[in-house]
Amino acid sequence: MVGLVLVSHSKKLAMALRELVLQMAGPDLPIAIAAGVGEDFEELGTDAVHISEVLQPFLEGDGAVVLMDLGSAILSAETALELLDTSVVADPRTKLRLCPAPIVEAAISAAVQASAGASLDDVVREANAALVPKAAQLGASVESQSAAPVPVATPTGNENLVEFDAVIENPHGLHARPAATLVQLVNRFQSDVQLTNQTGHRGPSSGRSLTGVSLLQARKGDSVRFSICGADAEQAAEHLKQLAAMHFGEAAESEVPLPAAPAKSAAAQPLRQGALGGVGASEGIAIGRALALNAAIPLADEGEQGSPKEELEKLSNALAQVAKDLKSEAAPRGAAAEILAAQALILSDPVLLDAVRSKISVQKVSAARAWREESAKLASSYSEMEDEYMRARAADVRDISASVLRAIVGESQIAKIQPDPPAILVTTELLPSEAMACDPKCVLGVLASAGSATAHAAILMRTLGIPMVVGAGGVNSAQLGPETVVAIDGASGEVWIDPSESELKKVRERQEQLLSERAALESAKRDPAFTRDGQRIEILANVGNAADAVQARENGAEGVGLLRTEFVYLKSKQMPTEDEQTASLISVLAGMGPGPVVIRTPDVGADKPLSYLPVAEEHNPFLGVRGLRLSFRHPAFFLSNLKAILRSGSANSHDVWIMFPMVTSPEELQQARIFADDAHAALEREGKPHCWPVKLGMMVEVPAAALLAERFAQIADFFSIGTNDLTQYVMAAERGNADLAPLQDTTHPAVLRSIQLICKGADAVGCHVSVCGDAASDPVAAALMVGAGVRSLSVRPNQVAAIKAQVRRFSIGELQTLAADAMKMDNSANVRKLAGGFLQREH
Amino acid sequence: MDTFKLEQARSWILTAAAALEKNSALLCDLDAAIGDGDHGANMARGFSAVVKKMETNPPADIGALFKSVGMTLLSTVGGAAGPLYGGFFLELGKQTVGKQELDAAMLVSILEAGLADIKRRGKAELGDKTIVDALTPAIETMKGAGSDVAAATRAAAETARDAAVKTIPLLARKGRASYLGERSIGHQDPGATSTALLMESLAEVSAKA
Repeated sequence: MVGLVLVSHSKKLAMALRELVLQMAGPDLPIAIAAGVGEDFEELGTDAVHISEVLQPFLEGDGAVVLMDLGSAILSAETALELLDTSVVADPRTKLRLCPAPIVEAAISAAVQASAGASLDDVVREANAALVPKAAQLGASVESQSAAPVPVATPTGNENLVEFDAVIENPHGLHARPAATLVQLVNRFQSDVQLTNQTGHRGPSSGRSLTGVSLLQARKGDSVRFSICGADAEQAAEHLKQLAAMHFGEAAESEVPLPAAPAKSAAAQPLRQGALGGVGASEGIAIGRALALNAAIPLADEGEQGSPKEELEKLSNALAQVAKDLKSEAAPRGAAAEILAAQALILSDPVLLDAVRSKISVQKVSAARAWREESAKLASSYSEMEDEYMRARAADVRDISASVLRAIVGESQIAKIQPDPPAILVTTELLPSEAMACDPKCVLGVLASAGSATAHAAILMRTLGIPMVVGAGGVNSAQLGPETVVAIDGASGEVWIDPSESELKKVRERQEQLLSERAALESAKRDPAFTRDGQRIEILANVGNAADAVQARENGAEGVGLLRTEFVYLKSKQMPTEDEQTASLISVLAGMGPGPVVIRTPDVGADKPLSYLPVAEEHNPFLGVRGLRLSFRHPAFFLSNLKAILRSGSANSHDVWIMFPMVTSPEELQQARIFADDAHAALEREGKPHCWPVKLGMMVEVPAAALLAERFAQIADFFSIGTNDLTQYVMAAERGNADLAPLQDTTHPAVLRSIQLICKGADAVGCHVSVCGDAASDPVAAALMVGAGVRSLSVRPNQVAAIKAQVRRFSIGELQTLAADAMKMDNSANVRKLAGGFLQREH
Repeated sequence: MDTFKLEQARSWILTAAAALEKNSALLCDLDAAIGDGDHGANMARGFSAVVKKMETNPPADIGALFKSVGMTLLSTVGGAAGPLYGGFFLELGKQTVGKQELDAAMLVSILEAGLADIKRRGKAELGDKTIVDALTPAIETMKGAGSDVAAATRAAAETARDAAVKTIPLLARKGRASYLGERSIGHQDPGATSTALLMESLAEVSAKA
């Protein structure tokens, strides 16, 4: 693999950059630092001799790209080349390339390319083009002949071409991390992969180039075409589709998704040509009387002006008051929490505060006026920005500005906005604090003459389910009397002032249709999933943090099939106490709905080491001391885990099930049950409330456990199949090894047979079986596993609805036939072909 | 005096180290005006490391001495002066392998080789407001000053000192100072100044022989 050498004046800078790079490129990349000078290289400067020592080993491998900051770093690096021992290579410049690109951008680009196994020439080319996406983003041009990403190859025409489209669902689009993941996957295949952003009309770009992918500027919602050409095109396409479905590796960490803004071009027919139009900002239809919003919120009277000292004090009291109010907003979560955090930043913005304070002390104006004028300046500088998202932040500034003004003059927060009788609020721009104050029971809708569909207020209205149209420039609230009837369509942006009878009738019809569609969607989400022939399939969710838990509940999961507790353990540097573990677990459980919660004891080991539980380095950590095996070696820690789980369940009387990972042999499970008994007994002695009895079960991921399923079913209360590890162990193909990708597929007949065996063993004694591996979220694998006997799937929180819908399409009989046929195949590619054809047919 | 001996070469470096130490603040001030303000500290640190190295490991000939000075400067100066002066002394070392003494003509020729290395490495030309602006005229003066080492180096030192002052009106075209553009005009170049100090030290030790 081509390496990377970072030459900098500052050791700290280089080390931080290395951290940034490794986050993108993974730990295998050879990356070396030659930075600083003097004792321990702690002083600023460069040392040519040291650089040459760092460079020397790279002469023997695939070479390295050398990136330098500036000045002496360049001179020293050049000098270092002259100091190298050239007995290995006659001309060191063939192996070590000093690259003129900016060090941070180039390090990231080069690292991604290098970690994907690219040649030195390609890595250098990618590094040299590193400034291009940044320049494009900022609308500047980079004048450099070498600044061109890996060129797009022209297909010869008669090669194997596979194409598919994927819609980008990542909240921030294909930004650096998902783009890097994509480039790394593309580089594992021989085929040429071209990407075109069909929505943004950018590309084609080579999928081998981070720069190329970045230049697509693919944002959330954009459709990207993948054109794959070459001998392994089909295989590449299959993997790329999977990656796209997993949001390019961001699936697990994606935030609670915000309700999407309705599309600007609504499918609905306009009811009247020339009807007042705005932009739909929150879907839904509202019909009702118009009410000017500012009628509800009177403007503040500034009061008497004091001395500058008094005014400064008023200001800091007000700032403190608002900051406190923001924190105490009744525990908002998701969208609201982010918005409040963004606003809190404005409160401590040094540029703004310095300007306000100097105005008060130098120009001797009142705190209220200084604050109003300066915050208005800041808001207008936002509203002049090019980027729509940034422009929309102006409303946040205005909003927080209004809160601070109210605090300066001694008024409290806005009370709930509850028009009686219910009404459609008309305003210029809805501010977030006003949006939060809206009561959905009485606020039928909001009509704003300005504003943006991406503003925080719009997001809040979507969360509250209140229809809103923004940017309806022709609307003037002053002209609307108390008797005026207004109708708005928050999807299409249409607005009717005093609509005619026939218009009103059509709007009502549209409203009813929308409501019944919503009700249908809602019940599809909430209702359990039955196959067409009436077999119930339980759909649970895998949860790793509090946000997942909320998302799972809101998407209609019937419970939690896997709560990974690693979050409690991996984040801390020392062993968390039993109380700390309990508190962490309670915080996640708080967001969960009814239904069972399967909590897995820590699944750590040499592959996921904890600093406070040192494990010996192992040649093959996946076959080493991990999961339950590690737990047994640290009995006190294990006991504290179990006690914490039992205690956490009693706080909201959850139906807690405890699951042990990496069980191989029946006596291990018996041993683990004894630990659980001990935990219960200890809690009894200590008089601590906890849940008991609880179900005690195991992950089935080791082939030995699958083969002994019948025996295990007698001593386990439930099984959960971990398909990732089961596949890796059955197929003897390590998960991370891309060369073995075709063997890592859960749909392989050998794995399907193992799953069938597990289900049979469990069914004999009525032991509950679920699947908590990634395969449960894969529609093809899920269908096959149900066919093999699985009746419960635990899926990613955002897949709950999709998998329920899938289940409802088929009958058990068909799926059993499909699975039986699949088990007769020779490899997973054939299984996928068979199942893919089956799933696409009408049923 | 007709020759420049190993003992004088050693003294040159020790004297230069003392001079750089003494003038460290001056060089830093000059650098602060048009650069990052560390040239004096960097040079002092580099030469003090050189002195330490010479004490623990006394070189056997002039070539070994200069090579050791060059390597030590490369790894201890830190700023651009590290590779520039380091490369300069390495080049001097290459030209004097195994030598115990040099005559005036050889001294001129090795300094010329050193200057060529600095120009190649730093890509600097006369008038760019760098070391080159002091070193080039100094060597020219030495060339025309006859075969007496003491007299030739004295003349060279005077020239170097004047030349360093003459960098004041120049516009910097290399290094950190070049970022300042027009604002670099009106300040004396720290690199040319440290070169003048080196030449002054050379003249001092040559006179004592």
